[in-house]
Amino acid sequence: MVSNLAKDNSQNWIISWRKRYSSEISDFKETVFLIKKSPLTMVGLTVILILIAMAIFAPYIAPHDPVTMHLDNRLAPPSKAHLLGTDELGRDILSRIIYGAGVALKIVLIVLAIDLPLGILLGLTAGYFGGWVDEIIMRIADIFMAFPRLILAMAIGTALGPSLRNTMIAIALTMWPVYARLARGETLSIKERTFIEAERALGTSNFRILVFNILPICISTLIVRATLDMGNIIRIAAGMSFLGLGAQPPTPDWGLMVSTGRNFLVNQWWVPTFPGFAILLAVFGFNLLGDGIRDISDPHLRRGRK
Amino acid sequence: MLKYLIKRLVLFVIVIFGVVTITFFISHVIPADPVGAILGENAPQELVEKMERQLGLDLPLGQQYTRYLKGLVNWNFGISLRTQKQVSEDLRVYFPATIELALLALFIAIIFGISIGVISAVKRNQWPDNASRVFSLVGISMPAFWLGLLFILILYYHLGLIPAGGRLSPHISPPPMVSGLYLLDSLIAGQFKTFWDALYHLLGPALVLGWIQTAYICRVTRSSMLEVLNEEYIRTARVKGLKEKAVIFKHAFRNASIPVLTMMGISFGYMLEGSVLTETVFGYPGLGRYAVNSFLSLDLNAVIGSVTLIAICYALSNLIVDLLYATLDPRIKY
Amino acid sequence: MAKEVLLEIKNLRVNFYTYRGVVKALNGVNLKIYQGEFFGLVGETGCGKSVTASAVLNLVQNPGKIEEGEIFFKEKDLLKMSKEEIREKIRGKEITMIMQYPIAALNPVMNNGDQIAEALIANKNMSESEARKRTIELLREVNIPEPEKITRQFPHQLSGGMAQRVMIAMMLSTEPSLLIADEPTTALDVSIQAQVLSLLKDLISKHRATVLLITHDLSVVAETCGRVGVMYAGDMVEVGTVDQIINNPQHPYTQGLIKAIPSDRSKELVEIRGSVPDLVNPPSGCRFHPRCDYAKPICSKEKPRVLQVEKEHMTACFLYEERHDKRSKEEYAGEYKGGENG
Repeated sequence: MVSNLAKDNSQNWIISWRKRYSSEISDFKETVFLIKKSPLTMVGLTVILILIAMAIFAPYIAPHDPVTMHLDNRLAPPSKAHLLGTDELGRDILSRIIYGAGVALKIVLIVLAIDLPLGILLGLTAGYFGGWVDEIIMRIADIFMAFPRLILAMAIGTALGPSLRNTMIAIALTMWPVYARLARGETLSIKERTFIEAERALGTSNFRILVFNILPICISTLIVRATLDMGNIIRIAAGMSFLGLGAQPPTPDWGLMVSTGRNFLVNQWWVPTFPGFAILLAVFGFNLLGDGIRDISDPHLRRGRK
Repeated sequence: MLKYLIKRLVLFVIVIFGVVTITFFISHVIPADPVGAILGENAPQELVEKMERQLGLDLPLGQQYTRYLKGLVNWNFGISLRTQKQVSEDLRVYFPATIELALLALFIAIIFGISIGVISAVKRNQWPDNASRVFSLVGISMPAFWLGLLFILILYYHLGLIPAGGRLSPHISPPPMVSGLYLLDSLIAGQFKTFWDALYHLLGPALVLGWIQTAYICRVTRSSMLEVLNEEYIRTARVKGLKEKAVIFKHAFRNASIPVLTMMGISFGYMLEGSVLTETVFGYPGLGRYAVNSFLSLDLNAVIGSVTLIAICYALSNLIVDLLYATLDPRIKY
Repeated sequence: MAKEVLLEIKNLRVNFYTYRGVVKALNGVNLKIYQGEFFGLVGETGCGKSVTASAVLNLVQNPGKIEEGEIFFKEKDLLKMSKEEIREKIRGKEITMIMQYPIAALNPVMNNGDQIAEALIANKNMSESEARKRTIELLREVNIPEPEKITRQFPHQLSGGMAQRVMIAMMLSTEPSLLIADEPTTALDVSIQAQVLSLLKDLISKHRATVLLITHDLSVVAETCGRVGVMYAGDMVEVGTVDQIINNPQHPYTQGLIKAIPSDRSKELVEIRGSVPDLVNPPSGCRFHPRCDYAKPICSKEKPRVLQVEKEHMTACFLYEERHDKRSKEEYAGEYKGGENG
């Protein structure tokens, strides 16, 4: 008896959950459909899934250890034992590239983990409360945005000292203004909408309004933007490493690999070329996915037109 | 409109001020031991102190800041440790080189980017569109330094089509200085051999930068055109029975070009950034390469000088873009 | 006196290939418009009225496709013409269209005068100066004060009503035979609505044009139109004069529409139960049957054919067919679909 009741209750709960979120579910289904329909986006998604797989399963997939030097086998051209050749310290390039995926993804995750919350916090505050709080936050954002990203990252990176960790901090510091601006923009446009007035008329506190009404919309916009930026983060980080400001040896960072391999460009072209190609593929994959998601979020293309 | 102009200029000044302050902060306050980094850990004490005095690091922070600001107003950043010349002197030599490179790349990008973008939008989802989308996506995904290396590998080492580096071949002397842009100056002076030589040296970096910028402009043109082509007034134009060409150029493109122009300004800013990597790889003596070398050798004065100049250019291009936007779109009233 | 048929649409079917599936937007629409009349096309949002209008001008947008049908304009089938022919000869010259959101329908970076002049230059081969002069005259005709100033201004500086007048001036400038007005007053204030409608009526009689007025508002139709067509979910369910439709509606949907207009007589708000169907999986047979109080088994099986009620009054409904002689004369050459219930 009781168990039947429990089963009924849980089924009811699922049914009512389905009903309550029916529009979100259909939105999601539509998104999945559109993703599947766009071959380029699928390609992007595939690339990224491969990257994630490489990052997680590196120790199992990589044919060799990425760090151990084999000075007797330096600069070997691509062969069966070493599919992409070896670098100037005899390390297998393919393995280093595989491990490098993890490095790249780590950078993206940490930068976004800093920037998204920071941007949302500052943007919401600026947008919702307005006045001089808004002015100050936006002017500071403007100032940060007045530097070309790489230059600012280089400056901060140099000041903090060359290391991967500092590169991540530096890149995060160059990108937060974009997210703050976006969050602020969303907040401003939502703030004046009638349903917020209705909430206030009901006496909801500011905090609740912010968290339950404005925040969800901000988050989705920012996530779309974040997927667009993921490729850029990898590219800038690679640039920093290339210049010597980012990852330090022996980390298997792709940018660093291109940099150290640069001297061997002429006769052992594979040493800098393959890591660079990995960068290109990764950034390309992220950009494809980001583009796809942006296209899909575009209200024009959803639900067809009359 | 005037009010907007003033407001924007004030903003510009504030931003420059902030930029300058942050640069100071980053270069003076954060680094733990700039002198130690330059001279090495075991340098004799007197040398260290001498250097500190030279760099003004022995003064209290407030005084350093005012000294810095005073120098800035006079465009005096002190002496570069690396080149042993006035930083402002170095900047005067290297800055026009980068501007020239950026302009050439922008020129390439505008011509190819806009045309490919328009075609792409008009033939949406057909093969020219798909091809161009892949191309431009690859373009913006490309690490500039890697593309540069590839260019050097193929075009220099294997094909000998581009030179080894520099702005001019060793046996050619620069044209009389008018603008600092060798292409322009050589044409003005009628020195055609110099012109071709300068172009020859610009080719590699300009193509790399240009390729990447073409990708950006192509994408913006395409998405802007697509958005505009969906608007009601395009329907009106078709209902009026206008030729398709008129619809696309007179109605669609005129509206779509506004974001594209904005992008061009932003693109110019990206190029200031891209020049850093491209010049380094190609050995092109411009501001970007100078900046990198200053960073890597912790040449504080040069770092401050180059970063300040770059940031001012960037802020200026953003300002121009904003103003342009306001003048071009009649809907904007300030 | 026999009236000339200006536009005749036969069995027009249009599909939209969207993410959710194929939207069967128009299900074999039939329509006849006579020269010089003011024809109203009424229906709820999404019933296909605008798609019909777009089809006439061959401006059905992706992902829509005209599947079959014929659209005879002055005896020529528009659907058989090449795109270039339609652009050159029909659009702007013979048939024009004004739209629901007039400000959005005007190019924001061109001034108002240029946009009107453009229509004249392209279609009437006028020179620039002639076109400019004519533009000012046209603006006066549509009762726009200070036409010279308006020509130099931009669309965003106009109010909705003024912008719609500019559109009307633009679209009547070339003296087309047919003007399609797609919900021209829906987005305007009620007071402006009346002005614009009466202006339209005046101009139409002056220019001797024919109007296809598309709207969801029966009262607008009652005021301005001579004949009315009622559409539901991609089908034309009833056609007749305003008097016939309002006082003697035969189709249950039309009856529902009329009953739904609030009046002094009834204190309740009467609605048609149910909601507009999903056109990806439309109801079988008569698309209205799920919401119809009089539905019979046959209504879900076959599509009703068009029958004549009285002169100029047609309907497609099995209720009517059953009540009256099933072998009554059909005036419409709409395709004879439906079973052998004869």
